[in-house]
Amino acid sequence: MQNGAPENRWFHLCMADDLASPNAFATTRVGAVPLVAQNIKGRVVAFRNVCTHRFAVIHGEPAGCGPLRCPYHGWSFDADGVPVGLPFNPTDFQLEAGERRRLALHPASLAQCGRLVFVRVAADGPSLEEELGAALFARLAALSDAFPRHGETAEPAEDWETIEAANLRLHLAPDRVLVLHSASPPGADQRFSRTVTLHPATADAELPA
Amino acid sequence: MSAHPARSVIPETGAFLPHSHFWTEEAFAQERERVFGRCWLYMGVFDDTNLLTAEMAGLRFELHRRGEAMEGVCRDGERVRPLQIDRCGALVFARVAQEGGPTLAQHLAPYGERLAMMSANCLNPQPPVGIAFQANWKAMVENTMDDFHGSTVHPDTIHPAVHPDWQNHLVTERHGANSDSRWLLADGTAGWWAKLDAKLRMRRFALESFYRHTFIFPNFYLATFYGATVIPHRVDPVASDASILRWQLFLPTTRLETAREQAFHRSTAAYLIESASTVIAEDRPVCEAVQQGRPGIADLPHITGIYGRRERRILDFHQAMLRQLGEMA
Ligand code: FES
Ligand SMILES: [Fe+2]
Repeated sequence: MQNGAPENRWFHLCMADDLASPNAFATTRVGAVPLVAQNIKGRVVAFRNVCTHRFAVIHGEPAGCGPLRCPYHGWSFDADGVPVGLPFNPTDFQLEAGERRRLALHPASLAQCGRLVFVRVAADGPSLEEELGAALFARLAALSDAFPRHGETAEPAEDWETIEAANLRLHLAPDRVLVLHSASPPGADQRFSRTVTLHPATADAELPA
Repeated sequence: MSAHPARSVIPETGAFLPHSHFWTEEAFAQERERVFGRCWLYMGVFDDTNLLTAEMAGLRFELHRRGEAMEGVCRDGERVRPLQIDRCGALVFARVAQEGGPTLAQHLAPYGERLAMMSANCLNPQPPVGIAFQANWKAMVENTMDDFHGSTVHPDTIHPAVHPDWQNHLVTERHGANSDSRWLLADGTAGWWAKLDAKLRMRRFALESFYRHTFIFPNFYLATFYGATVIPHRVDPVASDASILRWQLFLPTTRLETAREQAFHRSTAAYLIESASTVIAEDRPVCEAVQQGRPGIADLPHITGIYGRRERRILDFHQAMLRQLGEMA
């Protein structure tokens, strides 16, 4: 089903709420390619997580909150990936707007399924829905909407339903809890794997009538 | 490439090392043969043991001194080749013996004399330090010749130690493969050294308030402070993505008679080693970030990097490497 090169496949990255606040970001790596998804002034965008100045990885952490700014010489990038803050530009680079646009970060593909955020290295290719199939896509979207609350970690039990999609493995105890395990993509370190435990919208639902 | 001094350079393909040279085994093997198996390499400063050893790209260099005579070999597994050894002042260099090629003086040009003069300060040696980086050795060479990352990478260490108007005081000389940059020290820093000098009566090769950085192709640089302290550094390749930065502090004093003087010298040297280690610990993550990042854009030919006014030494290094590897057209 997913036998293409990793660069052409979608990988689950994080939940939409992880990127809800300005400057929130999440990163991963697919093959040799570091990726970042980041909220920049309310817009969520995805790029190769590699500075176009001299190639440093921009955000080293798997997730966090902070401007899209390179640690090496402090270049900062806008929502189009264009370097907008260049320390010493007047003395060292003298880059005008057009030249800066040529130095924009390379975009990555970004897609959402319900509240699940996916990224892909390749700019072109099937949509996330096409890759997952309409039925699975709809199921994941519905589940992610039905379990919006991050909560206490739960250990999946044997009798829970297991659903697999892309690098995701979901463990579902209907109406009670959804454990979502997101494996690190090929080439990525273990620290890029993520597990979240999600609960239904209202705690009341768990109470007996 | 444009040559205007104040403008940045976006190099064309062929004017910089291919990205893959920073992580492939092929490139590492090629460098081992053509760079570390051929060039003059810094070996160290002899001490009482009369022995020097070094390991670069899997080649092991062993040198010993008997009186004025120096000899040594390069071991490469089973293969043992004699070394040519020469000195520049106290600094000892060696290369795998070969016909032709530059003399050491030619290799160091135009810095041979200056290095010899500075090396007279290679006194009162402190124990050598080695710090491992998970990065290709060239990413570390790029880092050390990048003259403008102080404010972002070293905001609390180097940045305040150099003159606030460092930009106007920075002087860079470029001579192909070798180059030199010097910064004026901040008044406070110069004052600190002056006080130290009053106590230690340091040997000074020049009455200057500079931090100097002299780079000698392929992997040696000498840092000096206040015309007194000298710190030879060498970047040793260990693997295509691993290196060790080796350095040694010399704090040359003319006053080391009393126990009190010795104790002060010892504690000052320890402090300087700790400070230098802190700075290197700041450089390590950015070198490693480049090691991680570069493969991530290698499939995109339009991303060539861009080199500003104070990064030209890096492109000089790339071109010297290309020449050395015989890849220049
Ligand atoms: S490498 Fe990113 S700002 Fe220089
Ligand atoms: Fe540095």
